[in-house]
Amino acid sequence: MHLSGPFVFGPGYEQKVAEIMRRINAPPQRLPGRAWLLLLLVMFTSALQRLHAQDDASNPGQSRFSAEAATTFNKRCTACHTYGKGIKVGPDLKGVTERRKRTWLLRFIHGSAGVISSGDPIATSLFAQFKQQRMPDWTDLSEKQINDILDYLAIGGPDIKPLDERNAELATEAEIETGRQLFFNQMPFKRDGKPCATCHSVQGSGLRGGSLGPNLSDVYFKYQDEALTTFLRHPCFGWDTSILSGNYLTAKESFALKAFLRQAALQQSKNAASSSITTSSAVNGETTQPGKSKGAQLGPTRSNEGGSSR
Amino acid sequence: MKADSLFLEWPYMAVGLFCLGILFRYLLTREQIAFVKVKLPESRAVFGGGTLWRVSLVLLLLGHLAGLIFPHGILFWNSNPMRLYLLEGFAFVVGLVALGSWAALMWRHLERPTGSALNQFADTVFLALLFVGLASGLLMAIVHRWASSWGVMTFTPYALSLLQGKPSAGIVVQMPFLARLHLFSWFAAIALVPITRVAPFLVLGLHRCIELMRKPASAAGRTAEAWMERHDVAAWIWPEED
Repeated sequence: MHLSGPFVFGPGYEQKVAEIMRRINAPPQRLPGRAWLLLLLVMFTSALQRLHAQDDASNPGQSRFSAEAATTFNKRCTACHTYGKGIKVGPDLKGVTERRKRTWLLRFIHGSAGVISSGDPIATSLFAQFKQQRMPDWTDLSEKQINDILDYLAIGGPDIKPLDERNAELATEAEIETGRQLFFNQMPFKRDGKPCATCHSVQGSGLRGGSLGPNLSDVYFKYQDEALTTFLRHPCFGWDTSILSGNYLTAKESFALKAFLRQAALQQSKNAASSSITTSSAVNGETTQPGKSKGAQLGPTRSNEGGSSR
Repeated sequence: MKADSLFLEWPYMAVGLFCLGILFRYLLTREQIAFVKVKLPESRAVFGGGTLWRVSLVLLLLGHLAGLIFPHGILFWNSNPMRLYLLEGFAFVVGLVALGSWAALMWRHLERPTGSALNQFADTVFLALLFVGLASGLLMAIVHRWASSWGVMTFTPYALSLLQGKPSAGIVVQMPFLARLHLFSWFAAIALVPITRVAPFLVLGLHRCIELMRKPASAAGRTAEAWMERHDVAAWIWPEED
């Protein structure tokens, strides 16, 4: 390669270099109007995306829970770390997001060997403290995946309960309404879940619910809260094998549905109780005391309703 | 036959029997296509039926195809109760019309039997299978509400799995008896077509397709032959030695 050729040191070369140097040294110019507009657009889009990402977790304290992060944590971290149970092979990870900076954690998880060899004081002291055993370099984890795991640890890690495991008794009116809309296909499921009313109905829904599957009016009492939570994590038929179990409905959707089914079950019990009072009053005449007959009739009525299930 | 193989292998067997049967009949009669054409009025008398019969069958076929091609569209349409009732009501009426037309067709078939005993037997079995398909569809609409919705969630993935050559009968074998009967009867009817008097229509259709393809194929052949003669392709392959 001939650097002294006419193309490198041709005529006007010095002026060109001077122009380039002037541009480099010039003070930064103000952004033109269109660039500001573009920047605003980007910021607006990013804000929208954040809002969308938080949509599944309106519950405070649960806002960054990710089932995938929990699974990755269990798969990759628990062999050497505990969460609040002391030192195992490596340090206890409870409070790690407060002890260390996020950028440092990201660097260390991605490549602990590099951080130690760079002479980072925290990394070298940890290396010495834990018998010179270093953590594997999780280079296959993306920055987002690591951030999700750190978020998961920050909000309580294995100590927290996923949103859908909350007892349906705690549901707000808005959550029950969301469950109703999801059930009757008035609101779509986020992960292409199939609307329940296609095959199922509940008491009082008239003809809106399907009759291929069982009536779900009493399903909450039949399975109780915990079993129903587990059940709702899987597709009914297992029609799409690409859907991972536990990843079928979002936690918010699952909880809302459970809350709606609890409401339906309560409503059915109430209706059954009032109808049994009416029936016993009709049979025994006006002398029957409603309070006594209610307790006596509720049990058998409810057990009969269970017969509608497949 | 196990329930699984009834929905895993039987659909392929049915379609295979249909294709092979029609091809076999075509090979047997291709020299006597005029004779096949003569038989068409007789076939039309047995299966042609009235306009209602034909229109209702086409509508039912299109409805099922729509469920197969646009499952999300159907679910969206059905998300509104009024639209759901409208679609289901319309489909039910079309099904009833098809069943009524079938009854008329069967009555005529039994009242004025024509053709050989084998033909009559095959046609009767085919018509009976059509009846099972139509009746099970209508009963399903009554007993298991909103088949247009749950059908696209169950039958569509099954049909697509069949088309992709990776049959997955997991969903179908869990379906109620009527749904399984509906599926089975249609596949059985498809398998039976080549020995019924519907076959002449298909044989003639196949003949016309082959004729249509033959013209451009022979024209292309002639052009290629002329080009090869002009360019002496033989010399390229076997060059003459000096």
